[in-house]
Amino acid sequence: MRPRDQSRGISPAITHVLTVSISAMLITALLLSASGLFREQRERVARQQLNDIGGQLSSQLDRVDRLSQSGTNVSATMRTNYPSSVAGRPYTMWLTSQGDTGLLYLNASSLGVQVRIAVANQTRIEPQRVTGEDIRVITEHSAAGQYITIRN
Amino acid sequence: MVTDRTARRDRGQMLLVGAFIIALVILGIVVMLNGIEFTENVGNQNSITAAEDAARTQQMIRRDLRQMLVYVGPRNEVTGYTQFPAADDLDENLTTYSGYRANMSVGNTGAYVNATLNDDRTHEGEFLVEPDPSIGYEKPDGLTDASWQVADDTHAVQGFVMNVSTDGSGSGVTANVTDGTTEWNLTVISDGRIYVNKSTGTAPTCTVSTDYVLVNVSAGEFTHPSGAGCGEFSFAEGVTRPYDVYFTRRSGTWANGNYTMAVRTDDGGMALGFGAGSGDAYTRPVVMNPVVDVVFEDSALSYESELEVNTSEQP
Repeated sequence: MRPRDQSRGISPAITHVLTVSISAMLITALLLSASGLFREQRERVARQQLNDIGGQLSSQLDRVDRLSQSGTNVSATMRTNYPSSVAGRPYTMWLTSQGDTGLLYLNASSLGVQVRIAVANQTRIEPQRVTGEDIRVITEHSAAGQYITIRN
Repeated sequence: MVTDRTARRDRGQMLLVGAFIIALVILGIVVMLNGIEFTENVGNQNSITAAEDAARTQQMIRRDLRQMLVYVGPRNEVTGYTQFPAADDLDENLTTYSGYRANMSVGNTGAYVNATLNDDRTHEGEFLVEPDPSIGYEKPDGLTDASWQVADDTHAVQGFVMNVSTDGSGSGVTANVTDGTTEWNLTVISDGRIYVNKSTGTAPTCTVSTDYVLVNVSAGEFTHPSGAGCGEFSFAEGVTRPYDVYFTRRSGTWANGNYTMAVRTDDGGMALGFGAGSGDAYTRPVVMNPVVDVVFEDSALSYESELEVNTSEQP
């Protein structure tokens, strides 16, 4: 009796196709699950960074606000520099006020992330929207009185 | 010798497949990590420090300017000092001071600092002084009028200090402020009775038992000495600007004493000094509420402001 052929039913081509297919399925599954994790991580990083930037800008607005109270016809420009993007995406800042309360909104719209920072101000806020990077915090005197704002 | 070529070919394919998988994993990771940036350091401490330096510089200039007003103006016989220097004197001293301040600032913080007198916003005035207490409140030209005017149509009177003898040697004096409709007055009688905006037929506002009383009329304070009830009061209460100031004698004779008064003149007001002879009341041009332009400049902050020092406040 001839010994049974051990390679019966095995084709090298099918073996390779199966190997590649299973590997591809495993890698795809890995990437899909990891992409969700990274998306959350990216949003978290963006939110944290917007909070940091907003906190610093709020502090600078507070200092310029105090300077605006230090005399009459005050004109001051504080030159600041922030990252042009957060988590690799551009963002905008919107300085506005609600009643007597100053508010600073930072928005990375492509990530769907927005944070709101309160601004302690005595001087009137002139609403303004700017993009990140080089930002000037300004106080000037106009016909309507002293105001603070931000500009690129 | 027989060689198993099939096994060698299988091993090569496994290496190829392994390399392909590893390349795919690396490519996937790169694609996913691309665009992720972790929180950058967003420190802007320079701008915060610059703002604090600018505010501190401004406060120092304000404090130094208050002292400068006292030391630049000539001393007077009533209070021993004046906060009302001449414009040229103040400008000259301020230029010197600004140079020193700039050097200090460059040495300490590297910032450029400058302080200059703002001629357009600084008020002009006249400082009226009656230096001789023996002449007292009598009209300086020797006329015997029962009252005489010292300030006309003014919007501001500062440094109005009356030194009145209360040793009983004279009679009394009333300082009157009027806008033509409403009148406010302060009367000091030589026996020590003081009336603030009330008739001398009523109970006095306060009574002093010393030989003289020093009243900072425009500040509403009894500087020295003060008696019971001699608290603070409001100068020219109820009187609208512009107003006149005039003295009135009491019972035929004037009180002894001397006085000073700064009258703003750049808005149509006028101080009426006489300067007829030695010891007579005279006037000299001064600045009132000087305004100084302050500049602070460094790499993170440009700051300019107008700093006004109120000369009506005590130094």
